[in-house]
Amino acid sequence: MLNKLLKYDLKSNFKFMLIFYALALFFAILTKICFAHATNLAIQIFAYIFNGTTIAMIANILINNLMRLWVYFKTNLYADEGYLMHTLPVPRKNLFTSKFLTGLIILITSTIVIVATTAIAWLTPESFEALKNFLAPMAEILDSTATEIIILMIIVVFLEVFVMLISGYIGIILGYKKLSNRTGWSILFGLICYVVIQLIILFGVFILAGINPKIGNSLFSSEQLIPDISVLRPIYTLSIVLYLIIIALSFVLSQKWFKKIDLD
Amino acid sequence: MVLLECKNLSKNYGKKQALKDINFTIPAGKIIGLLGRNGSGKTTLIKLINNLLTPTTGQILIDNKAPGPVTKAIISYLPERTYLDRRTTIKKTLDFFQDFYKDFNKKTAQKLLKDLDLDEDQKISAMSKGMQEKLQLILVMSRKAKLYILDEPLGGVDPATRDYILDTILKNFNPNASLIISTHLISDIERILDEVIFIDKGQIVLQSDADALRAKYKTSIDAIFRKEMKC
Amino acid sequence: MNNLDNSTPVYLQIAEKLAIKIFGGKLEPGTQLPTVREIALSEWANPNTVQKALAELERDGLILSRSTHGKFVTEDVELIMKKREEYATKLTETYEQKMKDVGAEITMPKIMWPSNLPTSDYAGLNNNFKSLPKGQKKERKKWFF
Repeated sequence: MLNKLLKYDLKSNFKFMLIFYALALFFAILTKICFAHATNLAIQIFAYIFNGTTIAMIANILINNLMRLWVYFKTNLYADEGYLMHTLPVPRKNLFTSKFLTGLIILITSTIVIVATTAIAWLTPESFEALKNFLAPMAEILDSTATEIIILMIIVVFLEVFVMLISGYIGIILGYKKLSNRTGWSILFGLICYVVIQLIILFGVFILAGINPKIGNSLFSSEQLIPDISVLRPIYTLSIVLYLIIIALSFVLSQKWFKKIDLD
Repeated sequence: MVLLECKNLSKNYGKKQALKDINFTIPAGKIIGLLGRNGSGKTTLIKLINNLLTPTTGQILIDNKAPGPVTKAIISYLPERTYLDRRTTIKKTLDFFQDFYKDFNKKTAQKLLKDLDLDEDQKISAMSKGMQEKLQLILVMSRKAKLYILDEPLGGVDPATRDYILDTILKNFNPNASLIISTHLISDIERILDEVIFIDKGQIVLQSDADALRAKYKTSIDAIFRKEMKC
Repeated sequence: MNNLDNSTPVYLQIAEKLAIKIFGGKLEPGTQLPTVREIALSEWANPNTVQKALAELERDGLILSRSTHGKFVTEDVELIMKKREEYATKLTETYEQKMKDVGAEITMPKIMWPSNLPTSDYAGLNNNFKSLPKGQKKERKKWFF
């Protein structure tokens, strides 16, 4: 039954997100075309307008992702529609798993669309060279390539956003265990959850600093004005591992907390 | 055969006790009226049976099983509110029910919809609240469930709609199943009841065969209810 | 349905209604009764209540069960006439009592019966609706399907 739930959840969410995706890609293409043919002032002005619109569309996807998914989680499971969802003959944990997977899939798709939009709008051989050159010193120190660094950064940002999403879910689950002012409690618990996760990651870095003096020096001593970039790699690796552990843990805990509900 | 059993069931909201030590059983093949004033605990009891609330103490057994996916598969529940996904159409809603409920008969639902002259491509959000309620009743009665639970199906409807609702219930009700109707409008439905349960201030005041009550008090259930609940 | 009486047991009301149809010849001896579901719908009652009413009539002998074929009005005309007499007597007694209650003194009328049971134009309740005017028929039929 999980696949049926997932199908239903994905449909309801993608129906809206597809519009935003299409708009972002559309304006990215317009930006590209206008900049490529910016022979006169009028086209140049259009190019800048489309440029701005594309940026707005990317922001739109980012914000809508989270807001949509949170609101959907709340209305579908805790408002009137919850009467329908919670009386379906499916294990309650599947309801949560489906929302979790929907969030994951939507965020992955959004990431791909944002990357594609960025690439379409602004990626030219020249800009790519410039970016490569910019990242080159860092890549050299890290014994890596520019592409690898970009991918690593995208992954970390993705995990960060995903953790935000899950904090929101946990906030709603815990907030709706209260008897009144449930929305307020949801926001508060969500924020607390997010802060706690950030603290755990910071704590992880502290421990790493304790083990590896190089990191400790570069992060917490004032002797070095320019931090040692080579410590970025273990920090990145640690954060990614920590993020994954936290996400897995939140998944298990939310499923457990979600078992007992009291609908309005 | 006992279809539903509640043992020492209590539900508190903080310090407020909504249900106090409820004990009763419901056999298969009966239409039962859950009668009580507004705020007497009817909806709380129904939500507990449907696993939408967690009991504070006590136990609920449906067909000898605790509330869960198995019991939800045999209960067809009409809440006292509109609960359908408003962004979708009637057709997609039918598909949704067919996807999740093995006992849902789409043909029955389509036939009933036809009687109402409802277009399947219509969006739920474009329907009036009354129409949405009728659609929900159709969906609920198109299942071949073991236990039907209708929470206030007659709340604030006009006489013609009330007749339509009662008629739909009687026509589609499976005689081997049981049906619980909660209401405070007793005179409208008392004729179709086998048994009545009076609930007041979170407690069960009386459970009895309807005709036995009429024979005993020589008056209607409605009148008995008004007299009993006076204080 | 507002004119329906809810102050006496519903199964007794239905049993009485059917008995009157048998006494008056609307349901002739030997004819088949409508199904429980049909009666339930036309009487706004639930099938269990109708069952109970039929059981009541069966105990009186007015109707008989033939397995798989449903329920039939008895062909024992003697019995029908006897039960009819009892029913009529009960009615007159009630009338007498009520008149007494309001202080009226009456001599009880003598009940006269035709030599035979009246027969119905209809072949039983099942086909009742065939003889109804067109518009009315349509409306009534809705309850049955």
